[in-house]
Amino acid sequence: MSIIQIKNLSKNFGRRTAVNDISFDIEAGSLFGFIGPNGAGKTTTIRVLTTLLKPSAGQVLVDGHSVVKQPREVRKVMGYMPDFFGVYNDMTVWEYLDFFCGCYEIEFNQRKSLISDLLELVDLSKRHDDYVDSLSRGMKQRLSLARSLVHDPKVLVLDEPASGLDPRARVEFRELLVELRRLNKTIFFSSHILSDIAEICNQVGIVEQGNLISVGHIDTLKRQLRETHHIRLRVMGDTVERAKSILATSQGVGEVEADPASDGDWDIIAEFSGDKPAVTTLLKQLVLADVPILSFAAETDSLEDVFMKLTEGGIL
Amino acid sequence: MTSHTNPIIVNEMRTRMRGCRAYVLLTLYLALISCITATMYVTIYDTSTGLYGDYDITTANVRDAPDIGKAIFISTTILLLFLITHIAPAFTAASISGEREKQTYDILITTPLLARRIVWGKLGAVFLFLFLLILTSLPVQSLAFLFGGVAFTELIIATLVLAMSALAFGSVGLYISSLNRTTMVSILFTYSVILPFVYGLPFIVFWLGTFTLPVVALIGSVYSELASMIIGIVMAYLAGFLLSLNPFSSGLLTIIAATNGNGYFFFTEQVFYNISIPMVSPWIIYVFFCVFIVIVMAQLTIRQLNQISNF
Ligand SMILES: Nc1ncnc2c1ncn2[C@@H]1O[C@H](COP(=O)(O)OP(=O)(O)OP(=O)(O)O)[C@@H](O)[C@H]1O
Ligand SMILES: [Mg+2]
Repeated sequence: MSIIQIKNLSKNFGRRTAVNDISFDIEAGSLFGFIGPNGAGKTTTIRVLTTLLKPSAGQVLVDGHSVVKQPREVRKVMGYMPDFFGVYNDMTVWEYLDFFCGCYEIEFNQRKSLISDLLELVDLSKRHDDYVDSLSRGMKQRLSLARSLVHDPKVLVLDEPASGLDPRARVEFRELLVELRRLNKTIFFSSHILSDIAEICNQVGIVEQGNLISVGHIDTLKRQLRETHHIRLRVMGDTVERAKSILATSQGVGEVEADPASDGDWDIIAEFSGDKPAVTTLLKQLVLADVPILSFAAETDSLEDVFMKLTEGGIL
Repeated sequence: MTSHTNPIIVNEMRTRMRGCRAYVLLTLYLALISCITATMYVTIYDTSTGLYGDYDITTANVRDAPDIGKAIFISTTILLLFLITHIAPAFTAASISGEREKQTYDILITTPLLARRIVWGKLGAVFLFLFLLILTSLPVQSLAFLFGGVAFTELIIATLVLAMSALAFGSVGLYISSLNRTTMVSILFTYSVILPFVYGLPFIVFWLGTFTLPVVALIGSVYSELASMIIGIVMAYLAGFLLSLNPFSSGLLTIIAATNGNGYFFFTEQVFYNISIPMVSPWIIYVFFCVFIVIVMAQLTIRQLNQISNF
């Protein structure tokens, strides 16, 4: 069952289109990574999803409730951690959590143990009585995660949750998300960092300039990635044109570039998409055509390469 | 406390009463009110006994005691009214814009806490704080009883007027706060509504009042005596109504009506040499006006909070 359904969502700010006709579903229990460069529309999408922003067009359902028509029902099942947030002054860590326990109408006699469990979870037990505004940024972020879990929500929406964390905390944070997923929560989180997402997510969406470029299971995406190669070969000088024409007429070959290398040899780099048999077929073709090949290599693009290509080199 | 205790009130009380700020404020306030009371006492005592008279305070002229009591009571009430009408809107004007400014608003609003409870929580917290001011001044006000000259009814009426002022002026600030992103703008906006109302309204009414007699006389000479009388009565009611909406003029008129032996609830006002019209005591109109303002402002604020933003 899809717990989050986004149908033809668009959002304009004046003449600027921040989100342009995005549609996708997220299955219950997924760990969904939402990735895209600055200004891609991640935060805008998340603010619509969390009932903070009115969409210009389209519909968003969370657990079957419309974010526009039944925001309160959505709020009950959702925990949200914004990208930027503040904390109240003159308030201790436990008071902060207690305040939100109150907002979610959690029974008074359950709060004490709940708060200590949550602080344990985010490793802030020792800060129980400290003032919230005295915490470091990363600690505030962890406290905010604890806060978003106060009412044991089905859906967690986190906007760049790892951005203020040190490398160690980042790893721990990822483990925490995996752990939360094991507790049957659906987690929607955004990030700039592909490795954050590739390692732990089972579903990903890639956005750029308001457009959804790709969405689906990480395995499908990885397979797509694995099938994308560069073929790099070096041939003897006088045969470069013949090699190029063979490559150009072969299946799966995209752009072909040739650069002179040392000793009058030529390096040829060809974009290629196809599986392993296709690579061997290509090599066989070249050999049968009597092209004197000095070296031949099929290279898989790294995730980052693909991401850069997909997002047209936007800033990550 | 139960799970249904309004978390906003708990939150505001915790943070507002923390540290020495609140106590310093209360101490300053008490010092001020004591000073004024002492001044009242000495001034009235002096003027009644004469500068060269008997300076022994303990044997103050018993006949003057009620005057001293009244003066203490009225001056402390006016001071409180001044503080409340000027502080309450500033406090509440900061409350919702402040959350936006501190970036705590989004988190608060994405909890299922009903907008109604946010509004009453914010208003309630400010009200409770101001009510503390009212309560702490009770010992000073009770001095007035010691001297006599003040009826218990008067104390009840004064407290009611003060409490309703806190709520009404607070609710205006709260609504304006819900419209704005920054506290600075909210506070400026609020004062630009409150100050003309508090200081401008009575003057405008008095100013318009100066036209009443000539206009009534003119109508009397051009049309008929009856027409001028009707116009006169309508004008008197209108002026009375408008002056009742302002806490200070309302209070003043209530005091005047009461000292003229007219009672605290109804009185008659002479409009022409032979006609007296019945009027409701101004404080009653004021209290109802406050209730009206609070309800309207609270509803508007709730609607504002329930609206999903376009930006
Ligand atoms: N309140 C707003 N008013 C006007 N334009 C806005 C508003 N919020 C966002 N935008 C615009 O919408 C576009 C998408 O912004 P958004 O914040 O969703 O990007 P993002 O993917 O979250 O970027 P980042 O990675 O930097 O957080 C941007 O061009 C931004 O300028
Ligand atoms: Mg963002």
